[in-house]
Amino acid sequence: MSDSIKLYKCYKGTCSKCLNEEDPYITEDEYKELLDADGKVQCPEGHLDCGIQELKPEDYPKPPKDNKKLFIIGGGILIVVLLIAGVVFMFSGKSKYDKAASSMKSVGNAVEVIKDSLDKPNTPDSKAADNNPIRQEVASGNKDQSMPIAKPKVEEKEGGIDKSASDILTASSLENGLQKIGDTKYSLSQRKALLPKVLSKFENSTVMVTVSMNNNKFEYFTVDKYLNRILIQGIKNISVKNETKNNAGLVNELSVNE
Amino acid sequence: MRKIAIVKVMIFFLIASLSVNAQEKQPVEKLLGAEDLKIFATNALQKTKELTKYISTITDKGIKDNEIKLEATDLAVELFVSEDNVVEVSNANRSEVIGYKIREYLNKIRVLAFTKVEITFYDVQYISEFKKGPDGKYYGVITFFQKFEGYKEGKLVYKDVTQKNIEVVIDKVTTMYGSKKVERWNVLLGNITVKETK
Repeated sequence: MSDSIKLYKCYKGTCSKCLNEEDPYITEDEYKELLDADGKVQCPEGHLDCGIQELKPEDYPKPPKDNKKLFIIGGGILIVVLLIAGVVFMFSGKSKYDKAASSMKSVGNAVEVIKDSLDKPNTPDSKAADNNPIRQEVASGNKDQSMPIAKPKVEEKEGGIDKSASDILTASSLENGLQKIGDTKYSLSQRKALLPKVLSKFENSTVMVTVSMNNNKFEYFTVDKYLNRILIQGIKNISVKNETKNNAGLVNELSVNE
Repeated sequence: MRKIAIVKVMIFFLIASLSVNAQEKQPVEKLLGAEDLKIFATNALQKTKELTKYISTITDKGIKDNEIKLEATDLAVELFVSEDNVVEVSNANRSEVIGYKIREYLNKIRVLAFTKVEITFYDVQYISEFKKGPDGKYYGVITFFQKFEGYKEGKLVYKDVTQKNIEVVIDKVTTMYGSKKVERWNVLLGNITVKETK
């Protein structure tokens, strides 16, 4: 604070003007206006004994702390520290990084193995999970009965965060891919997104698929039609009976049992 | 001696080629046995149920993907003998029954003016065994009940229960799948008629 600027304040507890907490000070110019011709203070409150005095150096108001400036400086220091730490980590801690990556990969592989074992068909669990009333009726050779048609499930909203999206794209074998296309625990859009991946395992989209039910021939489809059928019908209990491949390893004939 | 050996080899190749040719053509049986008819009867029921599932998909207002609905329409049409097969439609509020070609019918129900449509099918069963017609095809009839519920803004505004009959035909068909030609008996759906509406 400059020496040329003086501040004044009333030290009387009864002075309402000077008790104003927001601005209790009187500037030098204001103080001069209060002085009469004799240089005596004319109390603005009309008190006989005015308490306005020049502030002592220790009573001068302290400038407010510049928090914004502090924040910027602190943030800058933090960024520099983090950059240094990053550089040190990259150059001196590479072995630790490799170890961590390796651990992550192992965990991923273990998850994949467990997932594949769960997805395998013809296990007692997978058979028990087949609650499709249509399939049960046909399997029992029934001739009647009521058949509530379940609407295709759409459990997950399109465009939302979806944890199982990555799972469904890991369809490793052809059989696994077919089962996932028909598995209504995934949303219709997710299963539809899997079609090109499974179709790419075939020589072309007109490859013939022979479908049997309970080992009796049911129908023939081109593979593109067949994939759409299992997608819409929600047929997941599919086992590959026979598949032949061309020289490029692409399937050119397929027989499945549902 | 050498001539005899050559003739034997020639005869072998001739028989072998005839055998391969016969396997490729695999002529279908002229008549179906009781066991075959039983399998086809099961297949026809399955196809009827697949049709109902396609209809449920086509009318499901929750499915916004029109491509899926159009694919369901194509697959449903392929269950029928031909695109000319007719589906009869009734209404609880009028006595008239109107017939639409199968694709036209499926397109109509896809764009019904309801905010939600629930179609439930039940009691799918045969009402007549397969009988051989004079044209060599086998004919049967399946019946089922269809419960239709149409909602607007969450309120049920129309409901009916209709008993419908589907003609089922077992016919010899030849189909090309890529380069493979398949000749076989196949079970297909025919006209769908209205029996009764409540």
